[in-house]
Amino acid sequence: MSEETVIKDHWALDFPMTEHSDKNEYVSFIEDVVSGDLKLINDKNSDILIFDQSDSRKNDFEFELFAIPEYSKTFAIQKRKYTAKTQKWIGYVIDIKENSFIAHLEELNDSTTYEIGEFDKFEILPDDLPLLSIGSTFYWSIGYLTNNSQRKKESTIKFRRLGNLSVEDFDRIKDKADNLFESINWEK
Amino acid sequence: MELDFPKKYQAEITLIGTGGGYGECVVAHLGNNNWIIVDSCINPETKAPLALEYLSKLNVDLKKDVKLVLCTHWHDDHIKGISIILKECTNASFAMLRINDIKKFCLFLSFDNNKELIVSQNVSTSEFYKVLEIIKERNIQPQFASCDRILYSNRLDEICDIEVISLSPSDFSIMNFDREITNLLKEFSLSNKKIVPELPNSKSVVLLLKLGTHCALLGADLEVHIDDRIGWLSILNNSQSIRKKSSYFKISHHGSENGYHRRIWDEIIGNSPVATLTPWNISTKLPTIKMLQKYCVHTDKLYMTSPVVNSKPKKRSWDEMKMIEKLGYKLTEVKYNKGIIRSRINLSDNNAIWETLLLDSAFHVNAEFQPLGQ
Repeated sequence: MSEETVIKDHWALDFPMTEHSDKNEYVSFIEDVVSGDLKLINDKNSDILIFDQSDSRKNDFEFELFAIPEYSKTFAIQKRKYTAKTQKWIGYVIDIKENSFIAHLEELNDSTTYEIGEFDKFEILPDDLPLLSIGSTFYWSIGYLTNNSQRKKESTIKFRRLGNLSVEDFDRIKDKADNLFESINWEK
Repeated sequence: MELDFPKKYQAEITLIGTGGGYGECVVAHLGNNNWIIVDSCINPETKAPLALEYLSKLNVDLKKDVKLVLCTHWHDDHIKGISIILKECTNASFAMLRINDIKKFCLFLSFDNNKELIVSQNVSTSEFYKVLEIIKERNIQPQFASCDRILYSNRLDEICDIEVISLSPSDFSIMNFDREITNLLKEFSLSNKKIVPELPNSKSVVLLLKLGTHCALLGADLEVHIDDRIGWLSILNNSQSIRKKSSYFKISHHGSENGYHRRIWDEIIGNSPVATLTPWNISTKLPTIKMLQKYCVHTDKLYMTSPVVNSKPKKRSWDEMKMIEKLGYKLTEVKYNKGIIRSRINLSDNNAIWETLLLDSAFHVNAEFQPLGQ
């Protein structure tokens, strides 16, 4: 890892390899650096790939890639061994029962009508369980995973994390709010 | 079907529903090419606001003739696409519930809007943020709705006076909302969550349309609460604007039990009014048979924008459906089912009655009607 690397809580870490992850299926985990511009740096020996968004090579792989913030200049993806027929949803929790939760789901490849689905709580990684609450957002993907010539169906639920705001981020948001407040001729 | 434009001295109230999952909105003609739009919902396939789709079919000049756009409350099914509407309707003013601590509200919107990765999941704040950006750009003053506040008025030649008056939210609801913003700011600004406001329905803006000698009541999603400082009981006990019973009622909150109170029908709604409603069909199904039967006691002119249908899986390729099934998931699609109830009345005739036209999936409900899925 390069010396300037500083790992922070960040959206990219929605895809970490935790102690509960299957190490044979996940190649490695994303390390990212946020220092001014988002620039992602990784260990050259790992299978993590980093591309500019304009790099056409990114199309050669099947990625776990759900969202890229507009301000990012580069992004990291987590290379899978191979997945096929993958379907992906973004959802948010609308109800929590004793052993399950109900979610509103929007399919990423077909964002017309949405769906309602029920999931068992045991499908959530233990690291993600504290994130389960009404309104929390998550990514859900299903597909066939090929590994060592074996093919199996796989379902993955990953709850979204948000990183801590830097002082600069906070100031930017506060400035926008102040500007909105001061620029509008509000009723007294 | 080709839609005809309302006459100069004809008022129109059109309720547009989507089947229970994609929201509802109302467009109203207040005579002489003056239109208002109350709430917004979109066609999930085209993402276009249905109010604009409807008005465009009538060839309404959106830039000139839409005078007011109002957001009744902060729920996705009433707000999706409202920024697109305001952008198109360049001559319209914008009204929303009163907010006292505006600075804090702006801060909250700014924080929540920063969660740009989940924009589609975060509709209500992102729509509000965009609306405020448009208001800022146009340098117009947003109007705050509260009890007995005139939001629009117009003298229609020598025929009659037109007024749009908000009857809610009550002062107590507004005060509660100020406190709630603080809590929302703490809980949702930096988290991975979509915002979940407390009781947004209690802050709904109910509108009274005074159309000369005729009155219409648009109930939004306002509910009846035990605490009479909020909800319908506050209107019934405190409003000074209601002088006459309404002959048109957009039933509140999808005809739910908590949107009903006998006093509403006895004290502020006339005999056998035109009553309209949209269904709700996500985790619960509204209205229930019991409530429809109750409404049918009050009127024989009850209309729904579409029936409540049983949910089914979304159509997919065989491969995809098989994979979902083999993994053991049961997903149900929230069906889009548009229905339009258009009611018109002659403003120059004090004895005129509403004439109603049903389009797409809208239908007349009678006492024997049995909604599906219950």
